[in-house]
Amino acid sequence: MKKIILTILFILSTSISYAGDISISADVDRRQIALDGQLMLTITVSGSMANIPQPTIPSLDGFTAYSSGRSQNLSIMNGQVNSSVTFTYALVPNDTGDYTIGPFSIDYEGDTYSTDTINVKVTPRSTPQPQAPSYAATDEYEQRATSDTQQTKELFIETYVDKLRAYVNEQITLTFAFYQAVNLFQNPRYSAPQATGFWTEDMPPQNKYYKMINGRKYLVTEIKTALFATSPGEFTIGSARLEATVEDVERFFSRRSPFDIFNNDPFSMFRRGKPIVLTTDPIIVEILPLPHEGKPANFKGDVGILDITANIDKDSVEENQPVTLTIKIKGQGNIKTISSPTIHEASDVKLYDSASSENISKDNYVVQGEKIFEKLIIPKRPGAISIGPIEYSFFDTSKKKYIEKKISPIIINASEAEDKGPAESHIFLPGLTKEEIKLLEKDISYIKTNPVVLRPRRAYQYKNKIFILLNILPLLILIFLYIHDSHKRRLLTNVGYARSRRAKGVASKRLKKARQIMLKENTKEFCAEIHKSVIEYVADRLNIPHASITKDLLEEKLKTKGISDPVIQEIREFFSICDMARFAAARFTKEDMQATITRATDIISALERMR
Amino acid sequence: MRRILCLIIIVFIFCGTAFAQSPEHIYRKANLNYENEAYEEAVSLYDELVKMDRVSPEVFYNLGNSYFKLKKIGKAIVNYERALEAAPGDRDIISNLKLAQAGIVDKIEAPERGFILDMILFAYDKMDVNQLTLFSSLFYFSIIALLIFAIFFITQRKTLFYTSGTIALALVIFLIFLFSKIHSETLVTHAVVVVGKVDVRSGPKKDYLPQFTIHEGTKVKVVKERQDWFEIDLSKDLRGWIPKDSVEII
Repeated sequence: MKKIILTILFILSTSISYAGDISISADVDRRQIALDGQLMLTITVSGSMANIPQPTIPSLDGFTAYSSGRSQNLSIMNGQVNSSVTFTYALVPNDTGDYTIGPFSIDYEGDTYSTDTINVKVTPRSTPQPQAPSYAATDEYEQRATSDTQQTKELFIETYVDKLRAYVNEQITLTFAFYQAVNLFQNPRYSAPQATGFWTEDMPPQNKYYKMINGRKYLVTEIKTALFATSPGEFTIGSARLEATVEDVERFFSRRSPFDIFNNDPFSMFRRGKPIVLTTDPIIVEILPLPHEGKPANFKGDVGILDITANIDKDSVEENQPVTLTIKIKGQGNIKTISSPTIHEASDVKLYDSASSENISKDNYVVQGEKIFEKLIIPKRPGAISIGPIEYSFFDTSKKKYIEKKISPIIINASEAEDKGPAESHIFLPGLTKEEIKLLEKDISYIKTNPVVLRPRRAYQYKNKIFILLNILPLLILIFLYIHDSHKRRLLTNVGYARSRRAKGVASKRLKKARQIMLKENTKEFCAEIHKSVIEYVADRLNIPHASITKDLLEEKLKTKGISDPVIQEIREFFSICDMARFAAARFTKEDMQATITRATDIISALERMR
Repeated sequence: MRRILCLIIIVFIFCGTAFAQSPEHIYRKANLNYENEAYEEAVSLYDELVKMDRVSPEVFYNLGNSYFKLKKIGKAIVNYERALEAAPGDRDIISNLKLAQAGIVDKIEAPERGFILDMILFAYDKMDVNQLTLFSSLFYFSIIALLIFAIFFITQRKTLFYTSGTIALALVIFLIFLFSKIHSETLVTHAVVVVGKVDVRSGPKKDYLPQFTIHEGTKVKVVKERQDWFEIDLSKDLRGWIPKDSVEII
C-alpha cells in the first residue's frame, strides 16, 4: 500500500516538474451565421500538467455569451500527465455585421499564451419571422399547452397531443416536453397528467435532443404516453407538473459578462439552489363515437390497423383428441383490449378457449404488436370437419371505416378413435378439471315427478315405539326359550333336580288323594297316604331313594340343608301322629284329619324354601 | 233450483280448497309449475310443503332444481344436501349437487378417500338413517333367530354361533354407522352460504374485523350461536362469525 502511494506521489512530483508544455486554441463551429442563429465557441487549453489555468476572455462585441459547459480530459501515460480542458460558450449575435472574436489568452508561470482571432460574419435572419420554434405542426389538430409564453426563460415545460379529435379506442399520443437551458441541481420530479377516461400506455424511452428556440439552445426531454379513450365525449387531460431545482439564476445572469464567473472565488460555485415548479394547462380532447353505418354485426370494439391470421398445429387427428387453433391479430392499436374473433361453432366439434397472450412494442411511439388466441378444438366424430369461418372486424382509423376480415373454414380430418373409451378421456384443459368439463356440457337432471309419500322430515324409525317393542320382543322370546330349555334339560339329565322339581307335584297329588280318603273317614288309609306324601316329598327333594329313608337319616339330612329346629320338630311330631294312627289304630275325627293335612301342607311349604 | 246451484258451487269451492290443502296436490302443482318453467311459483309451492313438514327427498330435490334454474346456487345446494340426507346415493341428486358446486367460488377440497375406505363406507354413503336402522334391526333379528336355532339344534350349535358372531360384527359396524349418521344429522349443524359473499369476522358483531371471505354455495359447520350470529368452522382451521341471514341451515 505504502509503495503505491509513494509511486503516485513520485508521478505527481515529476509531472509538476515537467510542466511548461502548454497550448491554447479557440474555434467556432461556423464562420457565418444568421441573426437568429447561434455560434458555438470552444476554447481548448491543453498541457502536461494536472491543473489547467483558466483562460482570460475579453468581452465580445456584438454577441451575448452563455457558458454551456466545461469538459476536462486527463490522462497519465508513462508518468506523463496530459490534460486538456474545453470551455464551450454559446454566442448569440446581437446585430448583423462582421465581428472579430478573440484573442483569448492564458497566463502560466509568467508566460502568456494566446490564440488567433476568429472572424465571424452575422447575416440577417434566414427566414422571415422565425419566432415560432423550429418544430412544425404535424397535424391540423395540434395544440400546445406551454407553461410559459416567455420563451427566453431558461426552463419550461409543455404538453401536447398529436390530435385533438379521435375515435374511441384510437391512439392519441400525449407528449410532455421539458426544455432546459441551464443545468439542474438534481433530477427533476415529474408528475404525469391525469387522464381519466383513458386507457394509458407508457412509451419509453425518454427522448433527448437539443433545440434552438429564439436563439437559445435548450436540452429537450420528451416523455410520450399513448392514450386510448374508452368512451365517446369530451375529456380533459389534466396538467403535468415538474419540480426542479436550478442555480440561483438571478445572480448568475446579473453579471455583465458570463465569463466573469471564472474570476470569482471558488466558493461562489456553491450557490443556493432555487426550486421551481412548472405546470402546463389542461388539454381538452373530443372523442368521437364509432360510426353506426356499416358497423358489422360481429364488431367488438377493436380499433386500429389490424390483420388476422389463423393456423392449426395438425390437420389430421383422432376423434376426441384436441387440435390447437392459433389465431393471431397483428397491427397497430390497443393490443391489450383486442377481443377474440367469432368462430362459427359446428355441432360436430367442441371448442375451448385455452390461452391468450400478447406481444406489444412501441416502435416510433405507436402502440403495436400482436395478440394470440389459442383454442382447443375437439372433433366429436370421425371424418372431415370444418371449423369456421373465423370472422373478425375492426375500425380502421386511417381509412375511417370498418374492415371485415374473414378466414375461410379450416378442415380437420378426424380419424376414428382406436380406443373407443369414454369420450374426452385424454383431454386436459388448463384451469378446468376433467369433471368440470363434463359437467359444463350438461344441464341439471330433471325433477322427479313420481308419486311420493310425504312425511315429516327426519322422521326416524328408531324413535317409533312399535319398532322399539318389535325389537325387544325377539330378545324376550330368546331369553324365555333359553330358560325353558335349560330347565327341561336339567330335568332330563339331573335326576335329583327332576325329583326335586317334581316333588311338590307328587306331594300335592298325594294330599289330594288323602282328602278323598278323609271323606271316607278311613283313618289308616288316610294316615298312610299323608305320611307317604310328606316322606316322599322330602326324599325327592333330598334325592334319597324312598325305600332307604329313615326318620334319623331324614333329620340328619335336613339339618345339613339348614332347616331350622322348629320345622324338624314339627316334622318329627307329624310323623309320630301318623305312626300312631297307622300302627296304634287311633281313630281320627274329620277335624283331626283336616288338621293333619294342614300340617302336611305347612311342612311342604316350609321345605319348599329349602335349596 | 237456485239454492241447489248455490249449494253445488259451495261444495265445489269447499272441495277445491280442501283439495288444494292436501300436500300431495301441492306437490303435483309445484311440479307442473316447474315443467312450465314457472320456477318462482314452483319454489313457493315446494316451500309450502317444507313449512308444513310434509316432505320427501323428491321435494327437496325439485326445490333445489327450481333454485338452480333461478341461479340461486346457495339455496339450490342447501336443498340438494337436504335431499341427499334423506336419500343418500341418489344419482340425480349427486350429479346436480356436483353441477351446482362446480359453479361456486370457494373450492374447499373434501379429503380424498381411498378405494378401500370407499368400499367400507359404502353403506354409510348410500343409506339414510332409516335404512341403516332397518338393516341393523334385520341383523339383530337374524342373530336372535340363529340363537333360537342353537337352542333346539344342539349339534349345529358351533356353526350357528360362528354365523351369528359374523352377523354380530356386521351389526356393530352398522350401529356405528347409524350412530355417527344420527350424530351428524341431529347434533352437528351444517349450513350453506346463500348470499353472494360474506365476510367472516373474528366476533359476533359488525365491529369485528373480517378475517376472510366466503362465497355463495360454500358449506360450513355451525359451531355456536349468539343472537344474530353463527360461529362457523370450515374444513380447515378457519373459524369465525357470520350473520345468521347469510346462511341457511341444511
